[in-house]
Amino acid sequence: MTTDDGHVRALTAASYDIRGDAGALVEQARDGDQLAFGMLVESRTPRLLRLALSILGSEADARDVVQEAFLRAWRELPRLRDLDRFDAWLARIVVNGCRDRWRSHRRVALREIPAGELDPDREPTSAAPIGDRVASADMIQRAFARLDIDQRTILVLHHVEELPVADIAASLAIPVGTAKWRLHRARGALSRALELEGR
Amino acid sequence: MSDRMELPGADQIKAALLREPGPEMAGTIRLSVAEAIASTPQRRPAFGFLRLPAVNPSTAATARLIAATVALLLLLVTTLVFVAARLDRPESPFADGLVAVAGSQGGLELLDSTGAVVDRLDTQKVAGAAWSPDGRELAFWNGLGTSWTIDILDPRSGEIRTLTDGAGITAFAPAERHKIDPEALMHFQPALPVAWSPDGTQLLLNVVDGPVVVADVETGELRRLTEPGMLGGAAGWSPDGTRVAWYAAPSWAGEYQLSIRTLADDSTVTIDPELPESTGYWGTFAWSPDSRRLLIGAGGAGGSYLVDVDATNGATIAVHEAPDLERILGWSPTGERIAWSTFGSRSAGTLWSMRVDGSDARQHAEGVCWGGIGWSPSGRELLYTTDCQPRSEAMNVRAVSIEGDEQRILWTLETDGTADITGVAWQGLPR
Repeated sequence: MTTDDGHVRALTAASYDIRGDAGALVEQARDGDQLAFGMLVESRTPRLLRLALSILGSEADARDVVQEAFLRAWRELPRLRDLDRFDAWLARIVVNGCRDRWRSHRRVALREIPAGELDPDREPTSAAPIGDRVASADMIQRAFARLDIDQRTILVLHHVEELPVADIAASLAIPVGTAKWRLHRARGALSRALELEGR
Repeated sequence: MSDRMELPGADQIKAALLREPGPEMAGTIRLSVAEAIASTPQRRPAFGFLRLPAVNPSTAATARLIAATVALLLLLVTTLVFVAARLDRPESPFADGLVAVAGSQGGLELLDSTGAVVDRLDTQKVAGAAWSPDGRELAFWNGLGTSWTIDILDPRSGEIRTLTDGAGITAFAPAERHKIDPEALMHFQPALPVAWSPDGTQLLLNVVDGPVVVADVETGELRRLTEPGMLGGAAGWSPDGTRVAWYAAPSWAGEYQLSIRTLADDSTVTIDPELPESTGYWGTFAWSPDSRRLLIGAGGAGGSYLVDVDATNGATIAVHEAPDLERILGWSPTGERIAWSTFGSRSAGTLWSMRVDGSDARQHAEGVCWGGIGWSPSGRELLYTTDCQPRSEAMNVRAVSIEGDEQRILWTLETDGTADITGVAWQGLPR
């Protein structure tokens, strides 16, 4: 990759302090450094893919959403004033992308079955007690599939990403109280969906 | 209410929901993005020169001169636009009423019916400003971080008196609550963090997961309504002033209950109406104008509903579908319609109303902010705000007619890009 002045820059830890100073990378990327942005993409992709995949359940959709999110982040990065909030901002772009994708597909909802689930030798899924009944992972997934996109998103941020409520609020651009309330509701909705699945 | 299943543990939920992408997916994305950004220019802010890289002193001086000149031009253009907007401003539906506007960076402005600023008060952050029923005083949370006071403003003199320093309220806070944060409830209108009793003698103070407290307006004496350890939610006076209803839960992840306290004898009943199948409380409600019924928000995986409930015994009278419902805004002043909205992510909300018999549900607006929504005194219009994103240069106060869905901009409020509006309180707005 070449820099603005036409020189090839060696991608080394000396060029970018990849050990801790993510802020410097963000700043360089904001100023148009494609190498720096590439390093941000590399380090953030696994987490964002996991986030999008857990929300949408479709590998194809998750890949498209994350790709588009990075492209949008690249375009809009110079307008981000508070660079410390880069990760929350990026997560928000992905979450919004998931929402758009889900809404555009809601009339033709397809559930991908990962290849591993079709394996006849696969171990049975773990089960968790629900009252006097038992909820399998499959049951939880089916219940999750009944929820709307906002409920799915906040549950993934809480249970999969294990973000504190304040970070969830930042990722969704909503007040902390709203995040807390929505999480409460989403957990309630999941509980009711499990109830339906358990019948 | 239907029995609720307990959720599996966090580990089980995580294991079920977690979907790990294959390693090839990440590689594909890295390549695609690298290719795409090579031909994609970044969008620079209009005033990008304000963030110039290190330059020599003479260049820096030139840049400063350019910046100052452009800033002056910008100020001039903004002023001209603002003046022009005022000259063309439509009539306010509030006659002589004042409007209190609170900004996120602190400060409280009072605007007259033309939108002109009549007073600008130096405050810290203001949350949940509410006019007294006679319109003579404005009560609000005033503070920062965890340090808040309940203040009351006399708009004629501009005097602000502190009713309580908030310490008493903190003392009532359940152990699970780590701080008092009235900002968190601002978007639960009309169950405001501050609500005047209909006779104007008491204030109902409630905060997310805090205690529900009544304060005497003259003495500041506090009385807690929620049981110790219970986390309060939205609360509201009955229109006849004899009762207060509130939501509370034993823990923030627990099931909320709706309680009604009769103030005359301090008796409390917990009502448990039959909600639609597989739904739970949405944590928002509104009293009917005759104080006999409650409209309760309920929802679940299948949708959201308004449940019409007898306030004396909790019996369900009717259930109406209510799309997008996240908070109930209240009955119209004429008692004919009920309005609701989503919280919205700052400005992504929708605004709805329908007849109280469940017919004629209509979506009136999109892009609605969470602050400053309510009925006009005539009940013919709904008032709301738009364009309140952080760093928005200006937000618009709009009205939409219920019958024709005709929308108009009442005022444009400048936010100068540094602050968003955290609340709008309409003087004389019926609750």
